[in-house]
Amino acid sequence: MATTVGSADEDGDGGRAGTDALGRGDEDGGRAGVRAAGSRAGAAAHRRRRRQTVVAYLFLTPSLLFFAIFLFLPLLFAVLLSLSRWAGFDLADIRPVGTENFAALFARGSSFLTPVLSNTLLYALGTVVLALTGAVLVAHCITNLRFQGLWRTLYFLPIVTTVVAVGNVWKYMYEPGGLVNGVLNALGLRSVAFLQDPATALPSIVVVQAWASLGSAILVLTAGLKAIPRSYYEAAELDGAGQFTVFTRITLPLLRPSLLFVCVTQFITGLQSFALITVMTGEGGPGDATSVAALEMYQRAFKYGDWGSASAAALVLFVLILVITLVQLWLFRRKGEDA
Amino acid sequence: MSASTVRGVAPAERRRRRTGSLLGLAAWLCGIAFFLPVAWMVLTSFHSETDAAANPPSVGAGLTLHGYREFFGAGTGISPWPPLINSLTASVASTLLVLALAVPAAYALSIKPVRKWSDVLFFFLSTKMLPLVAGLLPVYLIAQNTRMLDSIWLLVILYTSMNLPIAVWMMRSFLAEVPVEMLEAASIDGAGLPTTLVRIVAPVALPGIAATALISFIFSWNELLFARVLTGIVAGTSPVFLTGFVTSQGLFLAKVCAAATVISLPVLAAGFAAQDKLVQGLSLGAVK
Repeated sequence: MATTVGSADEDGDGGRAGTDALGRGDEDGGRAGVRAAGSRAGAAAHRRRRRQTVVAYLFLTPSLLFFAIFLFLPLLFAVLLSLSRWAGFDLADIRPVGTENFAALFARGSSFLTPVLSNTLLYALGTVVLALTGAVLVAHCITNLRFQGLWRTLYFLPIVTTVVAVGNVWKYMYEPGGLVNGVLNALGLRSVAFLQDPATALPSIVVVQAWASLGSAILVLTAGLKAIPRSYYEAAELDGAGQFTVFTRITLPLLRPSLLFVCVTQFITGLQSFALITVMTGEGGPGDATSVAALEMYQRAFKYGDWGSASAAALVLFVLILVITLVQLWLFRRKGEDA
Repeated sequence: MSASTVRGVAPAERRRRRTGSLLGLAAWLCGIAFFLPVAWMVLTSFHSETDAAANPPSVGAGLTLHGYREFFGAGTGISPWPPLINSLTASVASTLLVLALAVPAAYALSIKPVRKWSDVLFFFLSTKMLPLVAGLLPVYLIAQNTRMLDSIWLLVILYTSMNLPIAVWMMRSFLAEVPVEMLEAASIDGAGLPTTLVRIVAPVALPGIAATALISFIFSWNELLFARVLTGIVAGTSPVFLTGFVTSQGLFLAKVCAAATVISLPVLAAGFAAQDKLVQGLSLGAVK
């Protein structure tokens, strides 16, 4: 099109072409002016952005440096330790042994796979399932209740109470003459030796861990529920959907980010925590019924002075946590695409 | 708004209300069961030792401060004050350090000029994935070789690295509420960085900073593992003290419950003081 117009101009009179050129020139000038002003503003914005970037990196550096020094250097050291044998006194005594420590962990007859790792997985899984189910139910119930503040206070209690206090209180409650057995007896049931019986010891502690983590899960899920627009529920009600359908079709799918957050964080905590276990059973007893990976690692290092195999156990645990977290992220994302 | 009440109660509505009240009842029962252990702890702490040991538990027994008197040294000969002060030092100092590091980092992440800023954020969170215990071994060895064992400042540093990820995460959610337009407007008006921070960012971010500080304080106060391994007689914190107290005085239930209550008190108070903000801070990261 432009070329045909151009050729017509060439054939036409000079005057018109002149004014045309002039006009176009003027317009070009104007546009250039705008562009110049734009680039001046652009340069200012650019400078501003660059200054912001510099500030951002300046602000981030201390935190990153802190992590590098106090987190990654120690971890590198842990990797080094896992590949050596060392009794833990003189740094000159470290002897490299290759992957011997890892091989010993997974050797036939080693207690590391069962019961230690299986206990760890059961402990984490039990906690997550109990806490998540409980939290979804309770969060669903209390969003429609009065006294929201009171409820929040209640569920806040275990989060802020020291694990030593919580663990000991539950330990007393689980004792043969304690509160729980008192209730069981009153209901006509026989007493249970919760923490002394290898069959019930781990589940008993799982209940306490779930109880302690329920609160934060509820807080996160309540906030997630509040973020779901009311209009969705109103629309569902107009369509005559029942409570169950509303729950499975609207609440659960829209709650996915909060559920993911709770799942991932609770799993991480469950897999690596053993403070509650040491408080309630000492060294993972009875026998090794409540021995978990983190506790095993702690014992290997501080009780037996076997730093190499302790570090190896720690790294295995780290890889396990990483894999489980990635699987969860992947599962939740895939479900999200299906929906 | 009042349409449904005007319309009268439809059968569906009535059914819904019935399920609602059933759920409410279940929630109340759950709540009481939930509250029971802590309530039992506080109640037992005010009982005499004979009442505390009674089975079934004596709820209506007379109250006494005997357990508390015993705890504060009258009967055991060990003062709980040094561990309480150690806990306070470690928690407050690490919280201040956390804020000094996390607030600028979160600000940098919330104005988003760093390319791949979400990756940086994920990096901060991913440090939570590293088993703390895996870091504990090397830290213990380093501390042993630099004569830092049994020093409260080692705990301060460790608690800082423990709380930094969640602090950055929380602060970023709070700072994300500062409108970007306001920052740009301030910048166009020629406001420098300090002015922008003080006049625009601070008012919006202060409640968030308070919440982050409290979370960090609570987690540090309650930490047991590092404290037990890395401290001894000098720098032992309250959870470590409580563990020892239970071992030596475990048969005296009222005394132990009094100890547990006293040691939980600062965090409970801190928690209640800023409940709403804490809830907001803890849940924002998950929703946004």
